[in-house]
Amino acid sequence: MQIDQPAAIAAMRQPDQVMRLERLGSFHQSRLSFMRILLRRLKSEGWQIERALFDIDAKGTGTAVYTAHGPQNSYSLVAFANDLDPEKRSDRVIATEWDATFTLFDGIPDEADLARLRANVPLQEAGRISQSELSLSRANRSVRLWDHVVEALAGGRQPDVAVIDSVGYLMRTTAVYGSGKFGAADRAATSGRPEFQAPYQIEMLSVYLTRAFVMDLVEDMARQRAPETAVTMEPALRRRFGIGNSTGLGMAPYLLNHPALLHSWIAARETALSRVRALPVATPHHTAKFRQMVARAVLHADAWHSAHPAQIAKLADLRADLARLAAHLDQAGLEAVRPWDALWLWAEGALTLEGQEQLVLLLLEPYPEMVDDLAGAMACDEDRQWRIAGGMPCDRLADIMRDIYGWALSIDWTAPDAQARVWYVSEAKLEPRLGERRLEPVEPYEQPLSPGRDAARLMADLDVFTGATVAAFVLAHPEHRHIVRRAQIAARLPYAEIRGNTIGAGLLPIDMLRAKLSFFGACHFDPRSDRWVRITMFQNAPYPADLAQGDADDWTYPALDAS
Amino acid sequence: MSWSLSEIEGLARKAARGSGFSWGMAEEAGKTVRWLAGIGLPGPEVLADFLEAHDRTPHARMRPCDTGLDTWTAASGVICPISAGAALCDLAQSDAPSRDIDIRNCAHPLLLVPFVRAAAEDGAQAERVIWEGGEFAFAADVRGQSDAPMAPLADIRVQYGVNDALPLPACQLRYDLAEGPAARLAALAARTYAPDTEESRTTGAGAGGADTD
Repeated sequence: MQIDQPAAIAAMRQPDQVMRLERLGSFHQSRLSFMRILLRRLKSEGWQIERALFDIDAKGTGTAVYTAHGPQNSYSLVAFANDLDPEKRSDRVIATEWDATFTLFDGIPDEADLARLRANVPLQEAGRISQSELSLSRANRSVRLWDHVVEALAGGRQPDVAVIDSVGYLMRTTAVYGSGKFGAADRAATSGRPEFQAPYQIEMLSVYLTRAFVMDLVEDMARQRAPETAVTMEPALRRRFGIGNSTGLGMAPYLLNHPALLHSWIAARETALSRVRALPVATPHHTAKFRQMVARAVLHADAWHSAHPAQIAKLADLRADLARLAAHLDQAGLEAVRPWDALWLWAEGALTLEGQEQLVLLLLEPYPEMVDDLAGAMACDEDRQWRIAGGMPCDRLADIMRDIYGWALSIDWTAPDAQARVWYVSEAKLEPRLGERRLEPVEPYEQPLSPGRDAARLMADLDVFTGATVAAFVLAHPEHRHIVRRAQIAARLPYAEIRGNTIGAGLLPIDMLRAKLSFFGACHFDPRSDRWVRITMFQNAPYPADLAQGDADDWTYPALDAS
Repeated sequence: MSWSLSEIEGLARKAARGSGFSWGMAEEAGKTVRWLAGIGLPGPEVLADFLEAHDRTPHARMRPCDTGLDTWTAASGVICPISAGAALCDLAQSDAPSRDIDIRNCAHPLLLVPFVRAAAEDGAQAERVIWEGGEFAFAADVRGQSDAPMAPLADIRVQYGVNDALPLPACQLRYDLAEGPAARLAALAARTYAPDTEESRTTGAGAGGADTD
């Protein structure tokens, strides 16, 4: 399909619109989500996944290895199952023991590797891994669903669909560390491999294999409990189990610490949206696919539960938006010139942020040939964006600051609410936390995660600076070096900077968590507080054995016949 | 112990911040030490020496006074290699073809070397950095060596040109950092962490509700 480039560029959304916190907090998964990029590759390249070892005893302790063989390389998920004292089960990073722990091994581990990993991986942050390991992660059971499933299967019955759907996963991961953490290989060691070119492919592969392990483990537990009566899970039920994830504040700073990378992710998706909006006509094939996705999105929204008041309100918005969208489609149709653009412009006036961002992904869905290639543009060599352009005139820097941080320059930063919060790192396990500036003695430890406030501080000094260049300014004011760097990155890469107050009294860190998790491909965001969110990953996705048959990319929203 | 280079960078950045650097300058320290470690040079060890020797020294006293001159000096007499290096880099784009610059009394000159590489790249021209304990040359490739990498002080000359007689250092993706220097850097880095309190533990990370469901 020919892409009308000028029209597509004209239809790009502006960063001032996209990069607002409340909109970031309404993002959904899409064709460009990292999970979907991974499964498309596993399918198209014919990856073979085998259970190389499964040595788990009746108490549920032992070792398992799942190896994925690709065209050039093999990777092995090494899993250590644990008989966890329920008293010790916690999703917090300060936990010290988990139901299961994992690492993704680069290749196929031998006995010596397994012995080394067994002595370290169960300790997580307190252990040490090596250049041979690419990730480190752990998971806890959903006790409620786990017990129900084991009991049912052991008794020869299938678990109850309503109980399955009320949770959606048997285990939830509580941290998946990659890229050089705790001794693991740096991204530089693997970024040259095609399978890891797109972001977070190591972590997604690790979670995908974890899901297969967890399903095997729950069936094995049932069999060991009652070998005479136990049955395996019906194939139709298996897919309903995703892997949960419980994510705290630690993820939020990531978006601020990787501005160039954030731009790559958002720019890919915005480019995809603009390409679709620029289409002069929509074929019946594409409109049919779109209408079907709208209907599936309705099912997805219906199955999405949360007890958090903010999310309950957002879900009500989403469901109402989808009803409005369906009604509008019936009424207005998609036959006009540039139908997708017309639909988008209608949505901007008619739908809430939830519905608008839902529509983004629905518009991409019928057009793999125009969207999926953009996955290749989502990685970023951050070092290339990092150095300060010292020759830039100070006037130009001031223009950039006003353009990117205009929203921040109009805030009265002396008002108590404007700087109510402080991002800091606690001594305990180096956990990122958010404190109250006036109530806690944490300000001396403040992390540089407040670009808006820092931009305002910079402008106050820049206004009275008499030198000519940025080089002279940062020499005189090294305290502004950090924000100068950010501003120059965002001047080149417009989606690099979040345009909202990240230390204000009204900040909801879950907005930042959701933005990142949506790019992973997460669904069913379920905030547990303003800074803690649960999600499901790979729910309804094919298991490794099913990849060869069927569609590897048509699983994120429930099928219509499953309703 | 074998460290990943991103661990080395993070430790160096936090240690520099803990020792009084601004965040932006601490980031420069992190990148510098990572680059040195990536060719097997003792960047982390030298940074530990440097930060301890000049701990919490006000930055204004150790930065180059006037980068418009061809000879750089600092008010305190000793110039900070991170500040001088960052200034070299910042000037490189507009200063090419560069003049030769003498940096007098540069503390721990090894830490300046990666900035000259970056300046060569930014200025798109070959650059050499020469001091009594070593020499590096950056053109299409990276060449150089230091027989006294831990040297605490030297006069440095940064000049245009190549030196193909210098060896090509081998790149590596890991760095073996001994416990001693790691602990010294970690002690400085620890200053960036807020002491743990019960209040912080319960509300700061905001875990809501039970985790056992």
